Amino acid sequence: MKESTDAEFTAFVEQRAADLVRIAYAMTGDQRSAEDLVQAALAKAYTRWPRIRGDAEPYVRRIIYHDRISGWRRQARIREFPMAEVPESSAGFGPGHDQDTTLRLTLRQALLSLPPRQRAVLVLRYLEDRSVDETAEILGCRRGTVASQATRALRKLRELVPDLDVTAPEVLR
Amino acid sequence: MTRPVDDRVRTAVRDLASEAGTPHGLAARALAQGRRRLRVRRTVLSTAAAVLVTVAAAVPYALSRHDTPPVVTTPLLPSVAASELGTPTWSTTSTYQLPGGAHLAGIGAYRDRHTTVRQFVVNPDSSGYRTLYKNVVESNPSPTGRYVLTALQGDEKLALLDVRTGHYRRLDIDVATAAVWSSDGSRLLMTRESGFSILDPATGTLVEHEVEHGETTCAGYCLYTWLPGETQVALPQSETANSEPSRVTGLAIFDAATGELLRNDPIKAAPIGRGSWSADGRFVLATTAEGSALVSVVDVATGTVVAAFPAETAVFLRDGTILASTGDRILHYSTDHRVTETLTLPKALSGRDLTFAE
Repeated sequence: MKESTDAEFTAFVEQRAADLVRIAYAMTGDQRSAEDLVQAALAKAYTRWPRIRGDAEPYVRRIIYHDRISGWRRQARIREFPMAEVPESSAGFGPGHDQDTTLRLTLRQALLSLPPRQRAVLVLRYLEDRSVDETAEILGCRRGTVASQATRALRKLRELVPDLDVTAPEVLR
Repeated sequence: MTRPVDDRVRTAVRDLASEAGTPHGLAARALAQGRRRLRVRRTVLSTAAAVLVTVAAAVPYALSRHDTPPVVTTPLLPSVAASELGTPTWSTTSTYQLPGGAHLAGIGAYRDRHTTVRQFVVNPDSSGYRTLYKNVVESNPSPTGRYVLTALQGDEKLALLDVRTGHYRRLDIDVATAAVWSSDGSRLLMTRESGFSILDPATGTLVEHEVEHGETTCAGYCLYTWLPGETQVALPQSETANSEPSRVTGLAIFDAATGELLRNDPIKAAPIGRGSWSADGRFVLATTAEGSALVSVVDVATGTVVAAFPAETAVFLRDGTILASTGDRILHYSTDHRVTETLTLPKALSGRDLTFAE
């Protein structure tokens, strides 16, 4: 029985690991942290396997988001430094970067500076294409909380990336 | 969100996710960590100590290879003079006696099987055992047998059973929570992700202590355990670097009543659960190096491993001797860590989570 559980679990991980790590990477911005996050979530899933088998993926995804938000992995939190200053401005990247590339790099950095809960909302909405209701259900919060977190995230991104709202000239599209 | 902003954020999030590399060996690592969690959870849920037998990935508790104190005693083997006590039969009508004057206080689930099985707790009022309800999937009896912390089938929260009254109290505590009883069964120490809690089973009062981030450096899964005297609790401090296994760097000691961090002790060993400390505080049973199935006996004063032996469960008895289980056998070690008595468990008890008590 144990062998079949292990084989089933291993097959699940091998099949779904890449997608789960992508989500975790979008949450952490770091390969090792992402794999640690997924590994911990999978380990928790393993302990519940007989009860969740057949529907393990939603369980694992939910743990990934919750663990990241709750910050139980203290080491990761310690390493995470909030970005108080606006990241390098568009001009700071020098020649070789067109305006669009510069914007993307700045936006990437700004995304990584968001608090975990705000980033989780954006990952669920824009990477996983979840609805507001689904996002609220996964994060275990109300619709209004999802909306307010998204609004705060956007406000922060606009602060950090002043060019975010600027429509790019036609030539750069 | 306006459309251009919407599109840009979407693109940025997806670009970020696409930077993720292909994970290698994740299944094996997750499996090892999952087994470890299961083992620790079952152990702290139902017995006194955990030994990490099947470990392939980083072991947060492990003494580091670099910091492992020198073993001055080779792993113990049953000595020629050890008394073999045979295979005493087990029944629910009489209390199962163990070497060293101890007895079996609880018989839990199988350690390595996802099999639901009837579990038993010693009768707090007379001899023999009470049978737990069929829907109990994991159990952690107090040493007296009065209370049992249980995980019930299909319930994500723990419940506390008062064996004397049959009353269940559902707790707002997740089933995966590690819990260690005090030696008199009057308090239950629980490890939470953000600190520790102490439950008074008689009143149901739960006192939670938050431990500030940065106050401790426990990487990965960390277990709070009682110190001798049980007015303080310890949390192994560990660190990890690059892909090296986590290593224990000391013990953070907290006041059990206030949650205040009192000090950091330079004991590079992770206590394994209830009964880990000798009554005089001189020795502690700890997990050993990565991949090892050994329990180490660490001299607290010198940090030296004075003995190590294979075991799934081990506790110090009040007289300083050690009682250990290998799954199918019980071994009794003298104060100088030599095997003095052995007992072979009957099939009904072999491989089960066992709780020892005096």
